[in-house]
Amino acid sequence: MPDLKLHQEMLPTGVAYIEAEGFLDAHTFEDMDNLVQAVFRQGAHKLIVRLEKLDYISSAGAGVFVGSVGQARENGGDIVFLRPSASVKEVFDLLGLTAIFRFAETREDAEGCF
Amino acid sequence: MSKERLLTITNQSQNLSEVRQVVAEMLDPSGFDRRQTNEIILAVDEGLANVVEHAYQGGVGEVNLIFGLDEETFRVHIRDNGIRFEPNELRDAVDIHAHIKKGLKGGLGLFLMKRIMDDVYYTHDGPDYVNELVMVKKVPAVSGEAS
Repeated sequence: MPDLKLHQEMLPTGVAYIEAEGFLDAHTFEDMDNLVQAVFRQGAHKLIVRLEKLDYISSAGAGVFVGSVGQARENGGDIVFLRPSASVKEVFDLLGLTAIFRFAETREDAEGCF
Repeated sequence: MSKERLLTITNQSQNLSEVRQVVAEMLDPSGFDRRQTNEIILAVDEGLANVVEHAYQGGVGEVNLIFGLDEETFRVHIRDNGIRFEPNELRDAVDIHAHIKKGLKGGLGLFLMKRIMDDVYYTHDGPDYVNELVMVKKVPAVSGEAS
């Protein structure tokens, strides 16, 4: 069954780096939401989320970031997307998120967004 | 040539991926290009996810799906016997900035369905369902063909 794989590490700069792979939909979004909230609880509000290997995202998945980015920004951070796959980018376009979130092609560029 | 697929599932979110796969197979090949096909799959997923989350209020129930494709349209019917659902509005636009300000994570699905499909509406109290979500997408005219 298609699923979501998540990997998270803290970079030396204090930025939380998350890699998402697979399918972020109404079945799996709570895993991503729990991870983002756990990162916030650790006091980290600068997040890089790599979406290169994310095959699919629905509004439930995108909603995790829409509902969390305000908290990140209020605490001096942000959520930056690293290399979203073409199909994920199309959903962000449909939702108008490409004008609201920042996107980067390399991890270094993403770290430079903060 | 037309084709139809009928599918009965339970209202569990792990069934969403199977339904996306059925729609992908049904639209390959079709008059829709890759991007349009992905968008239609998303719209079906959004409509079904709403039913899965809300229709049976934590209980288990059946959801019947009917997909129909012919030369002119792709049609989706999603039927349940849960609580009656009357959307206040099917929004043509969504205020993402308000969602961000309020920390809202949901409420984007209906907007996406309306944005992607040509027609989205609900009917009620059919012979074997309480709610029916109907979505229609016109197959693009083949270029060079008289419209």
